[in-house]
Amino acid sequence: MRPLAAFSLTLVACLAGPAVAADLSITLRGQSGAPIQDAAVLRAAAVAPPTAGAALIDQIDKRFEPSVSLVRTGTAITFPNKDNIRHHVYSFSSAKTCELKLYSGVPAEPVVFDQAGLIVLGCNIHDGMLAYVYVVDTPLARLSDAAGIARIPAIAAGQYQLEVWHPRLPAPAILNAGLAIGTTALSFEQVLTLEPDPQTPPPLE
Amino acid sequence: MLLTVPMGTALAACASVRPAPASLYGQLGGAPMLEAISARLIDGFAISPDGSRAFDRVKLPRVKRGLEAFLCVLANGPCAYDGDDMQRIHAGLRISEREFNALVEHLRQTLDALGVDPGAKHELLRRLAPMRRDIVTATATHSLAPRG
Repeated sequence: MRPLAAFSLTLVACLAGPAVAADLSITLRGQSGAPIQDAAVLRAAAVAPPTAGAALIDQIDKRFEPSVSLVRTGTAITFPNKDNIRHHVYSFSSAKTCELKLYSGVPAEPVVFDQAGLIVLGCNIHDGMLAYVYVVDTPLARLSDAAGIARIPAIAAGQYQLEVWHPRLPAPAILNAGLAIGTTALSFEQVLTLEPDPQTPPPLE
Repeated sequence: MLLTVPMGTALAACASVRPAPASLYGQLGGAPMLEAISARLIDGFAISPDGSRAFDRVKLPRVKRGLEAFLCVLANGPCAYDGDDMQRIHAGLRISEREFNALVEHLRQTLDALGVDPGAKHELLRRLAPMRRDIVTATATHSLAPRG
C-alpha cells in the first residue's frame, strides 16, 4: 500500500475580493525524503457551499478501486461490485460507520458520506481489501500525486488553514493555521512524520 | 403422574423399549467435533488444488465460524445460523462440479480422520447433498442450436 494523504485549507479570514486569486502547490515528503502520495486538503469552507456529488468505489479482483477517494461532504458513493461475487463492506470510522453487503447481480444503494473525516473501508469476507475515503467540507482539497505534489489552482485571496490528512497521521496535521494567499503563486515543501502502520480496521466479527 | 420409580425401573428392564435416537448433532460429537470438522475441512480445502481458487484471499476464521453454526443447525444442534444462504454465498463464484466434488471428498476424509461414526457421516452427507444445486453454478458449454 502506497502512502496516502490529503491536504486541506480552511478560510479563516477573507482579506480581498474574490477577483484576486493565486495558485498553491505543496510537496509532501516523509521522514526519509520519499514523496507522500494521496495526501492533501486545503480548507476554505466559507468560499462555496459544499456541493454533494456522486462518486464510485468499485470492487475489482478483491480490491477497492480506487483505493483512495477524496469527496465532498454529502457525497453518495456507489459500490458497483464488478467482481460480481459477494463482498461485505464495512467501516468503523467515526465519520461514517456503515455496513454494506454486496451480492452477485444485486445493485446496492449508494452510501452517503455526510460527515467530514477520514474513513477506512474494509471487507469482512476478503483479506487485504482496504480503501480510504477523505470526506471534506471544502472544494479546495486535492490528493497529492506520486511525486508528493498537490496543486490547488485559483484560490481566492485570504487567510487559510492548511491541513494534511493521512492514514498514517494520528490526526490531521495543521501545517499553517493562517496561510496568507495573495496574488502570487505559492509553492513549498513539507516534511511529515508518518506513523509506521496504516490504520487498518479491526475485523467486523 | 403415572410414572413412579418402580415403574421406571420396570421400563428400563424391558428390552423392547428403545431410548429416543440421539440427534445427529450428538452423534457427530457435539460442538467440539463440529469445530474440529470445520477447521480441518476449511484449512485443508482452501490450499488444495480444487479449493484455492474459490478461497483466494478469503478470511478463513470467519468461514469456519459460519460453517460450524451452519452444520450445527443442519444437525439439529442448539445453535443459530445468521449467515447468508448457500446460494447467495456462492453466487458469482462459478463453482464447478469438480470443485464441489473435491469439497465433498475433503469432507469425507475429514470425518474419517476425526473418527466420526459412519452412520452420522452418511446422514450428514445426505443432508448436505441437496445444496449442490445452490452451490454449483459453472455451466458446461451449451449448444446454441434452437430447440425444437
